[in-house]
Amino acid sequence: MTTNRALELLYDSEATLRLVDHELNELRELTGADDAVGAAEQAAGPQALDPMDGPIALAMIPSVLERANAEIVNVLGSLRQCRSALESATSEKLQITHAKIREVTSATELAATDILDGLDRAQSIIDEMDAEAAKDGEGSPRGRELRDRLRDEIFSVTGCLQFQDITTQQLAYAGSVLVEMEERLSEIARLFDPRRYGAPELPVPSAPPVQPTFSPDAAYRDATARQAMADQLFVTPPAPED
Amino acid sequence: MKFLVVDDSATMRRIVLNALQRIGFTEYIEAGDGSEALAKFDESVSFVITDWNMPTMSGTDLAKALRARSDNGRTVPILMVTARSVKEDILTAMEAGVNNYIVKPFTPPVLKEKIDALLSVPSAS
Repeated sequence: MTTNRALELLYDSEATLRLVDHELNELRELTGADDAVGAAEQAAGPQALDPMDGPIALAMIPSVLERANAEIVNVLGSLRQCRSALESATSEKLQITHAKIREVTSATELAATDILDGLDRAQSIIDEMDAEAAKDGEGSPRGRELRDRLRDEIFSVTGCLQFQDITTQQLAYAGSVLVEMEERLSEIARLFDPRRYGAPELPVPSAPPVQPTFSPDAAYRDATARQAMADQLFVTPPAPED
Repeated sequence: MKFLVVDDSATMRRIVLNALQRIGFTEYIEAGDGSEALAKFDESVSFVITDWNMPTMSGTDLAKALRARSDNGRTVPILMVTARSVKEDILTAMEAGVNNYIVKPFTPPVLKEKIDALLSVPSAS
Protein backbone atom coordinates (compact mmCIF):
# COMPACT_ATOMS: atom_id res chain seq x y z
CA MET A 1 0.00 0.00 0.00
CA THR A 2 1.41 3.36 -0.98
CA THR A 3 1.88 6.38 1.21
CA ASN A 4 -0.78 8.20 -0.81
CA ARG A 5 -3.26 5.42 -0.13
CA ALA A 6 -2.42 5.61 3.58
CA LEU A 7 -3.02 9.35 3.50
CA GLU A 8 -6.36 8.85 1.74
CA LEU A 9 -7.36 6.36 4.41
CA LEU A 10 -6.37 8.75 7.16
CA TYR A 11 -8.39 11.47 5.44
CA ASP A 12 -11.38 9.12 5.17
CA SER A 13 -10.96 8.16 8.80
CA GLU A 14 -10.97 11.77 9.84
CA ALA A 15 -14.12 12.43 7.79
CA THR A 16 -15.81 9.42 9.35
CA LEU A 17 -14.83 10.55 12.82
CA ARG A 18 -16.39 13.92 12.05
CA LEU A 19 -19.61 12.13 11.13
CA VAL A 20 -19.50 10.18 14.39
CA ASP A 21 -18.89 13.41 16.24
CA HIS A 22 -21.87 14.97 14.47
CA GLU A 23 -24.10 12.01 15.37
CA LEU A 24 -23.00 12.14 18.99
CA ASN A 25 -23.75 15.87 19.11
CA GLU A 26 -27.22 15.13 17.79
CA LEU A 27 -27.64 12.48 20.43
CA ARG A 28 -26.54 14.87 23.15
CA GLU A 29 -28.96 17.50 21.93
CA LEU A 30 -31.80 14.99 21.79
CA THR A 31 -31.28 14.07 25.40
CA GLY A 32 -30.73 17.71 26.43
CA ALA A 33 -33.27 19.72 28.41
CA ASP A 34 -34.16 22.84 26.43
CA ASP A 35 -33.64 22.22 22.76
CA ALA A 36 -34.09 18.46 22.67
CA VAL A 37 -37.07 18.61 20.39
CA GLY A 38 -35.42 20.98 17.92
CA ALA A 39 -32.40 18.70 17.67
CA ALA A 40 -34.61 15.67 17.18
CA GLU A 41 -36.31 17.55 14.37
CA GLN A 42 -32.97 18.25 12.80
CA ALA A 43 -31.92 14.62 13.17
CA ALA A 44 -35.20 13.46 11.69
CA GLY A 45 -34.64 15.53 8.57
CA PRO A 46 -37.71 15.91 6.40
CA GLN A 47 -39.88 13.98 8.87
CA ALA A 48 -40.91 16.88 11.03
CA LEU A 49 -41.65 16.22 14.66
CA ASP A 50 -44.28 17.72 16.80
CA PRO A 51 -42.36 20.19 18.99
CA MET A 52 -44.16 18.88 21.98
CA ASP A 53 -43.60 15.18 21.20
CA GLY A 54 -40.64 14.31 23.53
CA PRO A 55 -41.25 10.55 23.60
CA ILE A 56 -40.92 10.39 19.79
CA ALA A 57 -37.49 12.12 19.96
CA LEU A 58 -36.36 9.65 22.60
CA ALA A 59 -37.57 6.84 20.41
CA MET A 60 -35.07 7.95 17.77
CA ILE A 61 -32.07 7.32 20.04
CA PRO A 62 -31.66 3.64 19.07
CA SER A 63 -31.55 4.49 15.35
CA VAL A 64 -29.04 7.28 15.96
CA LEU A 65 -26.92 4.88 18.00
CA GLU A 66 -27.15 2.34 15.22
CA ARG A 67 -25.90 4.90 12.68
CA ALA A 68 -23.08 5.92 15.02
CA ASN A 69 -22.12 2.29 15.46
CA ALA A 70 -21.98 1.82 11.67
CA GLU A 71 -19.70 4.83 11.37
CA ILE A 72 -17.46 3.52 14.13
CA VAL A 73 -17.19 0.17 12.34
CA ASN A 74 -16.16 2.06 9.22
CA VAL A 75 -13.53 3.96 11.18
CA LEU A 76 -12.15 0.76 12.62
CA GLY A 77 -11.91 -0.69 9.13
CA SER A 78 -9.99 2.35 7.95
CA LEU A 79 -7.71 2.23 10.98
CA ARG A 80 -6.92 -1.41 10.25
CA GLN A 81 -5.98 -0.47 6.70
CA CYS A 82 -3.86 2.44 7.97
CA ARG A 83 -2.07 0.17 10.35
CA SER A 84 -1.49 -2.37 7.62
CA ALA A 85 -0.05 0.39 5.40
CA LEU A 86 2.24 1.58 8.19
CA GLU A 87 3.30 -1.97 8.94
CA SER A 88 4.08 -2.57 5.30
CA ALA A 89 6.10 0.66 5.04
CA THR A 90 7.97 -0.06 8.28
CA SER A 91 8.67 -3.73 8.03
CA GLU A 92 9.13 -4.07 4.30
CA LYS A 93 9.87 -0.96 2.27
CA LEU A 94 12.13 0.85 4.74
CA GLN A 95 14.02 -2.25 5.79
CA ILE A 96 14.54 -3.30 2.18
CA THR A 97 15.80 0.20 1.36
CA HIS A 98 18.11 0.06 4.37
CA ALA A 99 19.46 -3.31 3.25
CA LYS A 100 20.05 -1.90 -0.24
CA ILE A 101 22.02 0.99 1.22
CA ARG A 102 24.21 -1.45 3.17
CA GLU A 103 24.68 -3.47 0.00
CA VAL A 104 25.80 -0.42 -1.99
CA THR A 105 28.19 0.58 0.81
CA SER A 106 29.71 -2.87 0.89
CA ALA A 107 29.95 -3.05 -2.91
CA THR A 108 31.72 0.31 -3.21
CA GLU A 109 34.14 -0.69 -0.45
CA LEU A 110 35.00 -3.94 -2.22
CA ALA A 111 35.34 -2.15 -5.55
CA ALA A 112 37.57 0.54 -4.02
CA THR A 113 39.78 -2.16 -2.47
CA ASP A 114 40.04 -3.96 -5.83
CA ILE A 115 40.90 -0.71 -7.60
CA LEU A 116 43.58 0.11 -5.00
CA ASP A 117 45.03 -3.39 -5.42
CA GLY A 118 45.07 -2.90 -9.19
CA LEU A 119 46.77 0.47 -8.84
CA ASP A 120 49.40 -1.04 -6.55
CA ARG A 121 50.08 -3.72 -9.16
CA ALA A 122 50.32 -1.06 -11.88
CA GLN A 123 52.75 0.84 -9.68
CA SER A 124 54.87 -2.30 -9.30
CA ILE A 125 54.94 -2.73 -13.06
CA ILE A 126 56.23 0.82 -13.49
CA ASP A 127 58.91 0.08 -10.90
CA GLU A 128 59.87 -3.00 -12.94
CA MET A 129 60.01 -0.86 -16.06
CA ASP A 130 62.34 1.50 -14.21
CA ALA A 131 64.53 -1.44 -13.23
CA GLU A 132 64.58 -2.79 -16.77
CA ALA A 133 65.49 0.62 -18.16
CA ALA A 134 68.29 0.95 -15.60
CA LYS A 135 69.87 -2.25 -16.91
CA ASP A 136 70.61 -0.41 -20.13
CA GLY A 137 72.33 2.46 -18.43
CA GLU A 138 70.38 5.69 -17.98
CA GLY A 139 67.55 4.58 -20.26
CA SER A 140 65.58 6.86 -22.50
CA PRO A 141 64.72 10.25 -20.98
CA ARG A 142 61.39 10.12 -22.78
CA GLY A 143 60.69 6.67 -21.31
CA ARG A 144 61.48 7.93 -17.82
CA GLU A 145 59.24 10.96 -18.32
CA LEU A 146 56.36 8.77 -19.49
CA ARG A 147 56.75 6.44 -16.51
CA ASP A 148 56.75 9.39 -14.14
CA ARG A 149 53.61 10.75 -15.74
CA LEU A 150 51.98 7.37 -15.46
CA ARG A 151 52.92 7.29 -11.77
CA ASP A 152 51.33 10.70 -11.29
CA GLU A 153 48.14 9.54 -13.00
CA ILE A 154 47.97 6.41 -10.85
CA PHE A 155 48.50 8.48 -7.76
CA SER A 156 45.79 10.88 -8.83
CA VAL A 157 43.31 8.02 -9.33
CA THR A 158 44.23 6.71 -5.87
CA GLY A 159 43.25 10.07 -4.37
CA CYS A 160 39.93 10.03 -6.23
CA LEU A 161 39.00 6.86 -4.35
CA GLN A 162 38.26 9.06 -1.35
CA PHE A 163 34.83 9.23 -2.95
CA GLN A 164 34.21 5.79 -1.41
CA ASP A 165 34.64 7.05 2.15
CA ILE A 166 32.56 10.16 1.47
CA THR A 167 29.68 8.31 -0.21
CA THR A 168 29.78 5.71 2.56
CA GLN A 169 29.22 8.50 5.07
CA GLN A 170 26.42 9.97 2.98
CA LEU A 171 24.77 6.55 2.74
CA ALA A 172 25.22 5.99 6.48
CA TYR A 173 23.47 9.29 7.10
CA ALA A 174 20.61 8.29 4.78
CA GLY A 175 20.43 4.96 6.63
CA SER A 176 20.18 6.70 9.98
CA VAL A 177 17.27 8.79 8.65
CA LEU A 178 15.53 5.60 7.55
CA VAL A 179 16.01 4.08 11.00
CA GLU A 180 14.45 7.17 12.54
CA MET A 181 11.51 6.96 10.11
CA GLU A 182 11.05 3.28 10.99
CA GLU A 183 10.89 4.13 14.67
CA ARG A 184 8.39 6.92 14.19
CA LEU A 185 6.15 4.90 11.91
CA SER A 186 6.28 2.04 14.42
CA GLU A 187 5.22 4.43 17.15
CA ILE A 188 2.27 5.61 15.06
CA ALA A 189 1.28 2.04 14.25
CA ARG A 190 1.42 1.14 17.95
CA LEU A 191 -1.18 3.82 18.62
CA PHE A 192 -3.64 1.51 16.90
CA ASP A 193 -2.81 -1.21 19.44
CA PRO A 194 -2.54 -4.29 17.25
CA ARG A 195 -3.64 -6.60 20.06
CA ARG A 196 -7.07 -5.03 19.85
CA TYR A 197 -7.46 -6.49 16.39
CA GLY A 198 -5.71 -9.75 17.14
CA ALA A 199 -2.86 -8.84 14.80
CA PRO A 200 0.79 -9.68 15.47
CA GLU A 201 3.09 -7.06 16.95
CA LEU A 202 5.18 -4.97 14.58
CA PRO A 203 8.78 -6.07 14.15
CA VAL A 204 11.31 -4.24 16.26
CA PRO A 205 13.07 -1.65 14.08
CA SER A 206 16.75 -2.12 13.41
CA ALA A 207 18.83 -0.46 16.12
CA PRO A 208 20.80 2.67 15.17
CA PRO A 209 24.55 2.61 15.69
CA VAL A 210 25.69 3.57 19.18
CA GLN A 211 28.00 6.26 17.85
CA PRO A 212 27.51 7.69 14.38
CA THR A 213 30.47 6.95 12.15
CA PHE A 214 29.48 9.42 9.50
CA SER A 215 29.37 13.14 8.93
CA PRO A 216 25.98 14.48 7.79
CA ASP A 217 27.75 17.18 5.78
CA ALA A 218 30.21 14.87 4.02
CA ALA A 219 30.61 16.02 0.42
CA TYR A 220 32.94 15.42 -2.47
CA ARG A 221 32.54 18.87 -4.01
CA ASP A 222 33.83 22.24 -2.83
CA ALA A 223 36.57 20.72 -0.70
CA THR A 224 38.86 23.64 -1.52
CA ALA A 225 36.46 26.22 -0.10
CA ARG A 226 35.82 24.14 3.01
CA GLN A 227 39.57 23.61 3.47
CA ALA A 228 40.09 27.37 3.19
CA MET A 229 37.60 27.94 6.00
CA ALA A 230 39.36 25.38 8.21
CA ASP A 231 42.73 27.00 7.46
CA GLN A 232 41.36 30.41 8.32
CA LEU A 233 40.04 29.17 11.66
CA PHE A 234 43.38 27.59 12.56
CA VAL A 235 45.29 30.72 11.56
CA THR A 236 43.01 33.14 13.39
CA PRO A 237 40.78 31.30 15.87
CA PRO A 238 37.75 33.29 17.04
CA ALA A 239 38.16 35.00 20.38
CA PRO A 240 36.50 33.11 23.24
CA GLU A 241 33.12 34.54 24.26
CA ASP A 242 32.73 35.87 27.79
CA MET B 1 59.60 9.50 11.74
CA LYS B 2 56.74 7.15 12.57
CA PHE B 3 53.15 8.10 11.73
CA LEU B 4 50.05 6.69 13.40
CA VAL B 5 47.23 6.69 10.82
CA VAL B 6 43.77 6.26 12.32
CA ASP B 7 40.64 5.74 10.20
CA ASP B 8 37.82 3.21 10.29
CA SER B 9 37.85 3.09 6.49
CA ALA B 10 40.55 0.73 5.20
CA THR B 11 40.34 2.53 1.85
CA MET B 12 41.07 5.88 3.47
CA ARG B 13 43.99 4.43 5.46
CA ARG B 14 45.52 3.11 2.24
CA ILE B 15 45.01 6.45 0.51
CA VAL B 16 46.64 8.37 3.38
CA LEU B 17 49.53 5.89 3.58
CA ASN B 18 49.97 6.08 -0.18
CA ALA B 19 50.12 9.87 0.05
CA LEU B 20 52.61 9.69 2.93
CA GLN B 21 54.87 7.40 0.93
CA ARG B 22 54.58 9.71 -2.01
CA ILE B 23 55.83 12.67 0.01
CA GLY B 24 58.62 10.68 1.56
CA PHE B 25 57.35 9.17 4.82
CA THR B 26 57.54 5.42 4.92
CA GLU B 27 57.27 4.47 8.58
CA TYR B 28 53.81 4.11 9.97
CA ILE B 29 51.34 2.07 11.99
CA GLU B 30 47.58 1.90 11.46
CA ALA B 31 44.52 1.79 13.68
CA GLY B 32 40.82 1.39 12.88
CA ASP B 33 39.50 3.64 15.65
CA GLY B 34 40.55 5.84 18.56
CA SER B 35 40.78 3.11 21.15
CA GLU B 36 42.97 0.93 18.94
CA ALA B 37 45.14 3.97 18.27
CA LEU B 38 45.52 4.64 21.99
CA ALA B 39 46.56 1.03 22.53
CA LYS B 40 49.16 1.27 19.78
CA PHE B 41 50.45 4.71 20.66
CA ASP B 42 53.90 4.81 22.26
CA GLU B 43 57.06 6.90 22.40
CA SER B 44 58.02 5.87 18.88
CA VAL B 45 55.04 7.66 17.32
CA SER B 46 55.98 11.13 16.10
CA PHE B 47 52.84 12.19 14.28
CA VAL B 48 49.14 11.27 14.43
CA ILE B 49 46.77 11.54 11.48
CA THR B 50 43.23 10.74 12.49
CA ASP B 51 39.70 10.65 11.12
CA TRP B 52 36.89 12.09 13.26
CA ASN B 53 33.89 9.75 13.00
CA MET B 54 34.88 6.27 14.06
CA PRO B 55 33.26 3.51 16.11
CA THR B 56 34.22 3.00 19.77
CA MET B 57 36.30 6.18 20.03
CA SER B 58 36.19 9.25 17.81
CA GLY B 59 39.14 11.30 16.60
CA THR B 60 38.36 14.17 18.98
CA ASP B 61 38.18 11.77 21.93
CA LEU B 62 41.48 10.30 20.82
CA ALA B 63 43.01 13.79 20.73
CA LYS B 64 41.73 14.54 24.24
CA ALA B 65 43.04 11.21 25.53
CA LEU B 66 46.46 11.80 24.02
CA ARG B 67 46.66 15.32 25.41
CA ALA B 68 45.82 13.97 28.86
CA ARG B 69 48.81 11.64 28.85
CA SER B 70 52.11 12.45 30.48
CA ASP B 71 54.26 10.98 27.67
CA ASN B 72 54.70 12.29 24.12
CA GLY B 73 50.93 12.11 23.63
CA ARG B 74 50.83 15.50 25.30
CA THR B 75 52.84 17.13 22.51
CA VAL B 76 52.63 14.88 19.46
CA PRO B 77 51.27 16.72 16.40
CA ILE B 78 47.71 15.65 15.65
CA LEU B 79 46.32 16.23 12.17
CA MET B 80 42.64 15.54 11.65
CA VAL B 81 41.50 14.36 8.21
CA THR B 82 37.73 14.34 8.09
CA ALA B 83 34.63 14.99 5.99
CA ARG B 84 33.24 17.23 8.75
CA SER B 85 33.67 20.82 7.71
CA VAL B 86 31.25 23.10 9.53
CA LYS B 87 32.80 25.83 11.63
CA GLU B 88 31.58 24.44 14.95
CA ASP B 89 33.16 21.07 14.20
CA ILE B 90 36.49 22.65 13.36
CA LEU B 91 36.43 24.64 16.60
CA THR B 92 35.52 21.50 18.55
CA ALA B 93 38.52 19.73 17.04
CA MET B 94 40.78 22.62 18.03
CA GLU B 95 39.49 22.50 21.59
CA ALA B 96 40.13 18.76 21.70
CA GLY B 97 43.81 19.35 20.99
CA VAL B 98 43.98 18.86 17.23
CA ASN B 99 46.81 20.92 15.71
CA ASN B 100 45.56 21.15 12.15
CA TYR B 101 42.69 20.07 10.00
CA ILE B 102 42.23 18.63 6.52
CA VAL B 103 38.84 18.37 4.85
CA LYS B 104 38.19 15.25 2.76
CA PRO B 105 38.71 14.78 -0.09
CA PHE B 106 42.27 16.02 0.25
CA THR B 107 45.19 16.23 -2.13
CA PRO B 108 48.77 15.17 -1.30
CA PRO B 109 50.08 18.75 -1.56
CA VAL B 110 47.65 19.80 1.17
CA LEU B 111 48.72 16.85 3.33
CA LYS B 112 52.38 17.72 2.79
CA GLU B 113 51.77 21.39 3.57
CA LYS B 114 50.08 20.56 6.89
CA ILE B 115 52.69 18.01 7.92
CA ASP B 116 55.56 20.35 7.06
CA ALA B 117 53.91 23.19 8.95
CA LEU B 118 53.38 21.09 12.07
CA LEU B 119 56.87 19.61 11.97
CA SER B 120 58.40 23.06 11.74
CA VAL B 121 56.73 24.03 15.01
CA PRO B 122 58.95 23.03 17.97
CA SER B 123 56.09 22.21 20.33
CA ALA B 124 52.90 20.98 18.76
CA SER B 125 50.58 21.54 21.65
